[in-house]
Amino acid sequence: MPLLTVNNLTTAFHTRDGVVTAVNNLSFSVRAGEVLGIVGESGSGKSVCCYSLLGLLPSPPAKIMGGTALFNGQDLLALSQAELRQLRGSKIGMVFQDPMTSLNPSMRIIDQVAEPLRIHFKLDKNTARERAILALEEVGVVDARQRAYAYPHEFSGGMRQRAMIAMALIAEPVLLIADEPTTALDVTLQAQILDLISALQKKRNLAVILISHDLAVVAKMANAIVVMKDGELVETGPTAEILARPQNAYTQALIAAMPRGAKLSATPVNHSAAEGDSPLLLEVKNIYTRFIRYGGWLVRRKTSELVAVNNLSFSVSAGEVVGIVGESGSGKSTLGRSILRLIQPDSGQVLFAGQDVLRMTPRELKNLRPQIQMIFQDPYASLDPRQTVFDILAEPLLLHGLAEGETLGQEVQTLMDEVGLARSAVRKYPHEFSGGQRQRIAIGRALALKPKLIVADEPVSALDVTIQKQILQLLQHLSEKYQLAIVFISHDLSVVRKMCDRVIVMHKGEKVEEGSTEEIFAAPKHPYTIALLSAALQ
Amino acid sequence: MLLKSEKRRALLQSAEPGSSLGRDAFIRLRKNKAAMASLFFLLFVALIACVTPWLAPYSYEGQNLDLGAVGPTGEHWLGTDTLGRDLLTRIMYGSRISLSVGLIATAVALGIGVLWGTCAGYFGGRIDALMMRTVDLLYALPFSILIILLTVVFGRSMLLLFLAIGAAEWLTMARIVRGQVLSIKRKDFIEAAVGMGLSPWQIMVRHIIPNVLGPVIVYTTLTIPSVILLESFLSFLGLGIQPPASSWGSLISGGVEVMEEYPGLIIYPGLMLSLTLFALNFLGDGLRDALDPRSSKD
Repeated sequence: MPLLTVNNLTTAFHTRDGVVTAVNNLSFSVRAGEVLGIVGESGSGKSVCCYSLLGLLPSPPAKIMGGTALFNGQDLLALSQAELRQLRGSKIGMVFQDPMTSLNPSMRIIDQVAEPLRIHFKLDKNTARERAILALEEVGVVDARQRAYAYPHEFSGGMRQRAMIAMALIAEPVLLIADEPTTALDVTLQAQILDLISALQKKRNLAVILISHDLAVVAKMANAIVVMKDGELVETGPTAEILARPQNAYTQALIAAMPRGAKLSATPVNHSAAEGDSPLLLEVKNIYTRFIRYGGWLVRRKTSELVAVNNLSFSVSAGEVVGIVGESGSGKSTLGRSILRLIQPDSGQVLFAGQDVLRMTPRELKNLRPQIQMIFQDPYASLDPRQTVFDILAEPLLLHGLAEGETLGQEVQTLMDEVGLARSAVRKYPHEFSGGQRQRIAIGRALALKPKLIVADEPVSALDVTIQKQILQLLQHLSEKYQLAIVFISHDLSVVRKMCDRVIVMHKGEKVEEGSTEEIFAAPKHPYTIALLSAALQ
Repeated sequence: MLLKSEKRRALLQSAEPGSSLGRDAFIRLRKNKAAMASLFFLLFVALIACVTPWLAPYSYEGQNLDLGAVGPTGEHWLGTDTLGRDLLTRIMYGSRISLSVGLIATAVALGIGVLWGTCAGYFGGRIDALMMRTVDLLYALPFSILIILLTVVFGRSMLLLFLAIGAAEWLTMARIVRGQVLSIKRKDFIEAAVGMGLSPWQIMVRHIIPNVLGPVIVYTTLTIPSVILLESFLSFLGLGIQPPASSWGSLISGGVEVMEEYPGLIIYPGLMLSLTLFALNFLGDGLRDALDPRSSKD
């Protein structure tokens, strides 16, 4: 007898454009002690279906059109909000994607973890706090007794997610719903958190619904998989079965896009560059950047100091793709921004074609700008929401006097063709595009000035796997076509392996290892690199 | 398609590249019936105000003490006040004062406030601290004393009064704008603009100000009515316009005194003021939506 049986669930959103069906006729079931993985791209309805079960969708605009969801013999979809509140946090626990936004920033961790007990079991404050400390210890928070009194911002991302799990499990639920629990975390943390969920699940014989866009995560954890696309169930079955013999074309595409360390079909290694006969384009020497926080009233006093990049040097040849790998906080983004002088490092040199970027006058810098461009991680934030695609692509051209009047329109259209955008989209605004298309616009903007070097800061991290592959192929194609050098910053090793000729591994602001992609992946030398590689899911 | 791209090129040659937002916004605004009706109403009132000296049936100061306050008649469409002056005429003349104070003072507040707030927010650090402490200091000065000082120093003139009101109202605007700018300047698209080689001034004008327009417009539609009422308060203190000249504010405060006997004296100017404010609010909401490409799809 399954713990939860969902039958023909249909959820729709009533929008200005009419009714949009987010989940269509979905059925699945979970038994006690079983992990069910729900996989799909963003927008496939995987989160919406679980939010429907718990009554967490704002209604209107959302409306559950039909179906049943039997949980311990009760139909969740027929319960009132008051009855659902009794279940949430006590019988069903939930872990969200981003532990920074899903924890209350102004409440101590211990009180947040204890909250379900205070509400559902009316425990007094001290008893609940004692139980919270035990729960935090169970999820691996070191020194829980002291650290529990911290606020969420004083915890690291991984610790916050542990606290979130402690909170979800403290009332001893029988079902845990984890919505992208590791997406916001680094690979090493990702592995730890998944191991933790797995251990707790076995210990307590929990039923877990694991929602993720990352097939690798689900494949590692789940007994059974549900593949969703456009709100519908595409394929379902035991994990081993699905991975070995996917029936549906979409599932096959997902499995094919799964990063398994294998290179893309096109060989990324640009041999002329790798062999070192290309001229040196960029030379970064002894970059040192620290962030100083000031505090105090009236008189500014130094309160804390963080060395983001410590004495780091590397070089890039024309047409070469160099990967910079590290966890978040390792200083790789700071380094990337220093190359463009978006951040002024405290000391060091950035020599571009022999000239020091960091000591240029504003006029010299403006003349240099066309040569070095940047692509940002989040294509939602890196495009001005009030500019049309035309304005976005035309702005750099007009600014540097590369085109005007007659030629401007043609230039913009050429750019759009180049990055694979439909010409008819020229009058649209960024919000009318999908994430992948927006990243194409951002790439087009960077290309407009015909740069020699592009600094790409996590250019595909915000995108779905299938889209990731397309964008990487585009970058690779452009790099080959224009002899474009790319500094490719990423935390994702499989992506770096596909893209880069050479890899630099960063840890806490320092370069711990450097070498050709094959060397690093085949025979890593530094212990941190080894840890990073083994943590990446195979 | 060809025609469209030709039009676009012509447009680009005639204006700077940021202008397509303005054009798209106008197209969107035209679809908003309430905003368009409000716009026409406001234009109509403004037109009447412009041609009042030629159009008004009576003189605004001409008294007819025999008549006293009467209700609407064939000769005086809205009746007369206690001194027998034609109310319609006085409302028409009043609209000249009230609309211009609303327009000029708000424009002054808008200009200084947006510029000040954008600079403070964008440059940050010491510049920000200095600029915002100046704002705090001015906040601390009682507003009426400031105006009295200004009128004492510069003498009493209508234009100066408008400027003085504007100079007092920009403080809140500067704070609102600074707060918005602080969050926007951290966005990647600003860094992208720096990386492209735009100067701070270009970044502020092209990327920051268009993105703070939403709250600015809302606050502007709130400022105009408060400025119109402020003028009547100053007139009451003897610093604004003096009888027999009229403004909506002064007509309303005059009407309050005789409200029980002659309700018409407060109802008609009050009605005009309310209608104008309604129209301003609808237009403001319409503009805010029109200027945000995300708010509607066409």
